[in-house]
This record gives sequence, C-alpha cells and structure tokens, in this order.
Amino acid sequence: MKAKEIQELIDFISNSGLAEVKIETDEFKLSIKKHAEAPAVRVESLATPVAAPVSANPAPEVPSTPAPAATAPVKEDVSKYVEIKSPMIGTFYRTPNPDSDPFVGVGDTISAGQPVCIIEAMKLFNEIESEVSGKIVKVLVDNATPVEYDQPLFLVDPAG
Amino acid sequence: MYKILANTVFLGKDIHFLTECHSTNDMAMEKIKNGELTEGSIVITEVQTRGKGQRGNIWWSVPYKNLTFSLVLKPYFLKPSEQFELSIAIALAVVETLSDYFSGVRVKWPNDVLHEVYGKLGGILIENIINQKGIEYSIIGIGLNINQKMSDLPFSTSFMDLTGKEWDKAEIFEILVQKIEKNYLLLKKGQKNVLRALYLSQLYRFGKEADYFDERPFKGKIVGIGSDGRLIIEKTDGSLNHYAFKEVRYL
Repeated sequence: MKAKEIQELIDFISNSGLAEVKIETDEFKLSIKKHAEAPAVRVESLATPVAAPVSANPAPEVPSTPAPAATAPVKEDVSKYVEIKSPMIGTFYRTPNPDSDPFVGVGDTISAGQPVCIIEAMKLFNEIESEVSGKIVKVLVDNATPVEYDQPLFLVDPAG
Repeated sequence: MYKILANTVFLGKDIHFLTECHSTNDMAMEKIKNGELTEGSIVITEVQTRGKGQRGNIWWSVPYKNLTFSLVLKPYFLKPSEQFELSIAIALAVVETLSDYFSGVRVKWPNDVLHEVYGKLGGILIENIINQKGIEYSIIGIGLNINQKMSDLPFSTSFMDLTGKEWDKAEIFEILVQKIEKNYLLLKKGQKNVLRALYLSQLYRFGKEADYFDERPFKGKIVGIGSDGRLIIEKTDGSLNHYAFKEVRYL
C-alpha cells in the first residue's frame, strides 16, 4: 500500500461514521482509530514467510511523516445511536436481488428481527436480521462492497 | 410422488410439494417467515419457473424433467463464520449420491457439481437467516439435471446424457436426502475434518496443475480450502494465494 493510498483511506474514514477500522492482508496490518482530535495510525509490516519468493510481496511503504490529522468535527451527538454490525466477512448487499428495492433506507423505521441486508461469503447468502428497533440514521457501507467481521453497517436511532 | 421419507431421522418428514413455483428457495423463505416450516422440512416442485442461481442468475430447468427442491436446516451449532462447513457437507452429499450412478463426478469449488469431462450436473444455493444468536435457518436449494437433454448448453450434462436413459427422480431424491442428513449429523457431531478431507478428495482439479485467472492468467494448482472457505492455489513460483468466490476464474 502506498503512502497516498493510506492518506486517502484516512480521509475516507474520517469523513465516514466509523470510529475504528482494522484492515489486515498478507502484506500489512492497518489499524485506524478516530479520536476527537486526531486519528492514530499504525501500520505494521508482517514478517515475510521464509519460503515466499522475493517478488511476491513488496514491502508496504510507510509515510515518513505522520498523515495529516483529519479533524472530523462532530456535528451531532451520535452516542445515542446504536450500530448494526456485520457478523462475518463478506460482500454487503442492500437489496434481496439485484433488481429489487433495498431492504431499508435512511429514515425507515425498523423492528428487531427485520432483515436489513445480505452478506455473501463464498456463495453463501446471509440475510441479516436487525437486533434492534428504531430509525435508520445512516447506511455506513456502499452496496456490493466488502465488509469485515464486526464492521458497523447501519446507524440506528433506537428512540426514532 | 415424493412421499415422506422413511429412512431418515428428521430430514424429509415434512414435504411441501408444489405443482409449480417461482423458486423453491423463495417459497421456503416465505414459509419459514409464516411459521410453516421447521428443521428438516422440504419444499419441492416439478415446475420451477424462476429458479435462483447465485445472486441475480436464474437456474433454468425444463418442467417435470429434473429435481428442484429446497430443504430447511437450523445449524445453530455453527458460528456464522463457520458456515462454509455446511457448504462442504451438502456438496459432498450431492457428489456421493451422483457417484452411485456414474463415475467422474466432482465438486467444483465452492459448490458446483459437475462431471469432470462433460460438465455441470447441478447447483447448490444456500441462503441463511442470521440473527444475534447466529444462524437461525439455512435454506439449501438444490437443482440436479436428471432427464433433461443438456446438449444445447455448453459444458452441461445430465443423468440422461451420461447414461442414455430416463431415471426415477424420486429414488435419486430419497438417496440424496439420506446422504445430506448423514453428513449434516456428522457435522453436528463435530466431524468437520472428516467432511473436509472427503470434500478435498472429490474436488475438481485438486492437486493438478491448471490454468486460472486472477488479475492475469497464471498456472497453479489447488492445494486446499481455508477455514473461511477460501480456495488456496499454489502458483508455479511457490506462492500460496487465497481467493474468495469470484476472485479467481478457472480457464
């Protein structure tokens, strides 16, 4: 991963509703935590396996200077909201089928047990039911993009 | 035609036969939500007008010729992250059933069933309902090409094409359901490693050098399946590469 890509990622995360992001691949481990003042960024290179060929994994470039602090001003109190998180690694889909309407959208009132999305993993399709009742405040992930275990998918206002 | 199965413990004791439906998986989902199905229930039809393949794809089946059904399981003993074990148990049962009729049947990762020379014999589509407790329901959709001539479709075949005669679908259905139950109960007893070893022994292209495409064409051989279900291919340079579904193509 290039320094520029890391910076873009930080910008993206600071503008999103995510508080913490962890990414792990064969090449690197990236952990970003958003605080009120500045994000803490940690990139650690994984030990290259002995058997791996020289060209297989280029070492990740770590920016020599700290990435610019993304000061995401908190406009509203989000502490009252709850997150619906992904129970698994996979691909997030907002619709039951490609040609159908999304399960839920911002402003919709949902009840516990209602399906909110599909996560596909190795051709198994998982309809995820909400644990909470409330109003959808924000959809945190784009349709048809990868999600990690425990990644927040929706922000819900339980009082909504 | 499809009678309640006598030689099983729980699977196929409750059979919902529909003369026609869009998709047995969708019907099973609807019936689960209406409280009409429980673990072991099966929805089967002779005429599936809009069978579901993988997301957005349609599973075509000529009426009255093939087996198209869905069964309902409640694999609460698996974590959502372990669900590929279920895919392994089911795909293996299908391969084991078909191998009673002819040789050359293999499972193509993740869960296509094919004849290694003549092509695709069937498909499996698994849809789960996940709540905070885990996997609440699993709907296992299975389509098998039995008495339909598949000559029009590339790399597809059927019992009819392979043997030149018609087969009793109800008999194949009964054997298949028994084998699915056997593998499912093995999984429930914690025998996932036994099932994995058998799955690998039946895996199409396992251990053989062949052509693939990820971001570019390459030669490699399948050496295993990760705990998360990813396909592991060793490239000719010795590197091990893990692929999720659709991240690699077979050439």
